[in-house]
Amino acid sequence: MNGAWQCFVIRALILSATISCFESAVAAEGIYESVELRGKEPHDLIETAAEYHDQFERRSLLHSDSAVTGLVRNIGHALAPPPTDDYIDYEFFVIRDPSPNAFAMPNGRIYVHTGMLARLEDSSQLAALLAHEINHVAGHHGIVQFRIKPIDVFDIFITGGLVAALNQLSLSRDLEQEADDRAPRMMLESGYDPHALPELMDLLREDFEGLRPRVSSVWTTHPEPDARFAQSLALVAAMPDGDRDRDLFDTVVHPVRLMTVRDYIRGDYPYTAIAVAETLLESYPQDLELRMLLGDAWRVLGPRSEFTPEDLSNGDKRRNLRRRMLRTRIERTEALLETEAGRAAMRRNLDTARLIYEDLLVRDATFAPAHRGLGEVFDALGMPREAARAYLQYVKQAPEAEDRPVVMGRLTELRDQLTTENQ
Amino acid sequence: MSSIKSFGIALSGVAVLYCGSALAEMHATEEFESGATRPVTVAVLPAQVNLIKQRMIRREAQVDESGELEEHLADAVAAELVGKNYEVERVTAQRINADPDLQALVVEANRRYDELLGNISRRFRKQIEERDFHAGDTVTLLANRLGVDAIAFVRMDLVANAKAVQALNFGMGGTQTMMSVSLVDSTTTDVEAYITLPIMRRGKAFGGYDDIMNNPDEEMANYAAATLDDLIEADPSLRATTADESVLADLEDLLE
Repeated sequence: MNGAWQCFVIRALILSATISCFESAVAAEGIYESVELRGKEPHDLIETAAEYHDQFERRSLLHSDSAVTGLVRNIGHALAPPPTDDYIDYEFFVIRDPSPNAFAMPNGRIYVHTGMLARLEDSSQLAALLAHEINHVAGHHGIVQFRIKPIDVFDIFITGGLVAALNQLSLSRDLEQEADDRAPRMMLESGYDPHALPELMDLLREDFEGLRPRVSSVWTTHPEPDARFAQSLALVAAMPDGDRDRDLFDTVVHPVRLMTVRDYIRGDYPYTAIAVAETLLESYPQDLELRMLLGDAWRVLGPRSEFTPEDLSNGDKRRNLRRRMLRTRIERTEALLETEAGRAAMRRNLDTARLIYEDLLVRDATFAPAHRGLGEVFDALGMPREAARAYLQYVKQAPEAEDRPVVMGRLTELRDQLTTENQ
Repeated sequence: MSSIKSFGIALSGVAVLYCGSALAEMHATEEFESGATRPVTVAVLPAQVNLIKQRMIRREAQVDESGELEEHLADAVAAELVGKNYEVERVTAQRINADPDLQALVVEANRRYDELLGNISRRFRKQIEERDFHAGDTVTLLANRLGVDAIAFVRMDLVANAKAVQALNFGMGGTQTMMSVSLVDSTTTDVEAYITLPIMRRGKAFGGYDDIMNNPDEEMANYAAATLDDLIEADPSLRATTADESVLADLEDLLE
């Protein structure tokens, strides 16, 4: 590349970046009036959104419990403004996914993950979440982001789209902030408590697993969580309180919470399962199923040590994330068990689980799942006779249990092991 | 400089050969190959297809069309398995959505399988042999509910060329096609066999976007046949089975 050409490219790059930054600074807001779709937008935005809904159905991801979907739908419709366009039809759905998330489509369809519902405490927190998502639709944020500006096309040829991508991320963060900023007013108008918004933002900061390293906000679609929390706190400080309706919310959402804790355990997020189960037990100390899940979470924690968020550096979190992506669960467990600290943590965690299962049997001697839990603990501790006894007790007490084939599989392995030992 | 270039080219060649062997054809556990964990009955869950249309300057996700292909692909995989003497239970999305308990199991099994698929990496053959791909108890529960020995997970990522791109690429239709079928055993809950579309069969042998959408059943049948060609046939005489009652009686004796 000769000097003149290099000079031209650098100038074009600077021009592209400058215009893009300027453009994002002036255009980063939604449009809350009617927006006419143009070109391929009806297909690429509205029809595709409907197609994604069909895909969620095909992949069996839509949660069908009518009490839960009814609750979300009622709160959503109470908040939603009249649609400004005929392609918007507000409708609310629940997706079976334990990650705490929600999202909106440009056609007005809003989806809340079961993992998000499970973490909320009352109707106002759900209203805060839905108000945020409704503002994405009402402000036509999807359409605003979709419209490629001439400068972005120019940038594709100059920087390979880097500046355009950064510009998109900046726009996304601005629109997220706008959706946050407009949520409290919407909540207040429908009688909900706007102070639930910072509570929601606080909840989104939680990282029980140590898997979310801080990333420079230049590269993220959402504003930085701490800043978002502080901003929402300041926003609602002078606002009056509103309705919370915790009892109805608890009654409807409790089964989703149990299901989500189970999902965390199966999904290998034991720290999150422990944190959520312990919080729930404060409200439901007599719930044996919840206590059982707490024992299961400690058992699944295996050779991992307890930690507080302050214990982990950003590098630790990045390493955790990398290991999780590259190694299977078995490989991760085996690596930890090679260390003395890992083996000690394993003994400690299994002991905690055992105490919880034994306590369950003290509370209710007929609570069969506790025997299965004890079988799992003894199995993991390398005590085959004790494990077999506990599993046998479980099969006797709960002969029709859904997980009988799983337990029978364990018993078959133990029989083979004990037979070999006896020989 | 030229020696560095040559080294780079040689390294790329080795990498391509390595990736080819790592991703091609069938990888299975010893027990699957010997027959002890090879299933007799298999449930084929709804296939998951991600179809991308490659245009001249951009790629477009084809969500609706992916759904259409999913139906054809699951049917084609089921037919191939039947052709290899497996008894097949084709589980449709309608059936799953009508039964909340079944739905919960399928969603969980798919999520767990996708986690494993994300972990599939270098040392793949070793990982399969060492049973590192453990799909968890949900697979046992799901297989028990469906009355089968194993669950088949079918995935396809397909970038199909639009006509203009196909013309420029000397008639090549599909690019970067990746299809896999995994058989996860209900007893071990491990991935016992992982079968991919061999690298030399990807791409030009298959149609472009228009060919695929005009004739999806035939195209998906071609993909399924090319992928499952190396799968070993079912052999009920080799599979190990144990009755619950005998296990319980044996254990009572052993513990006395």
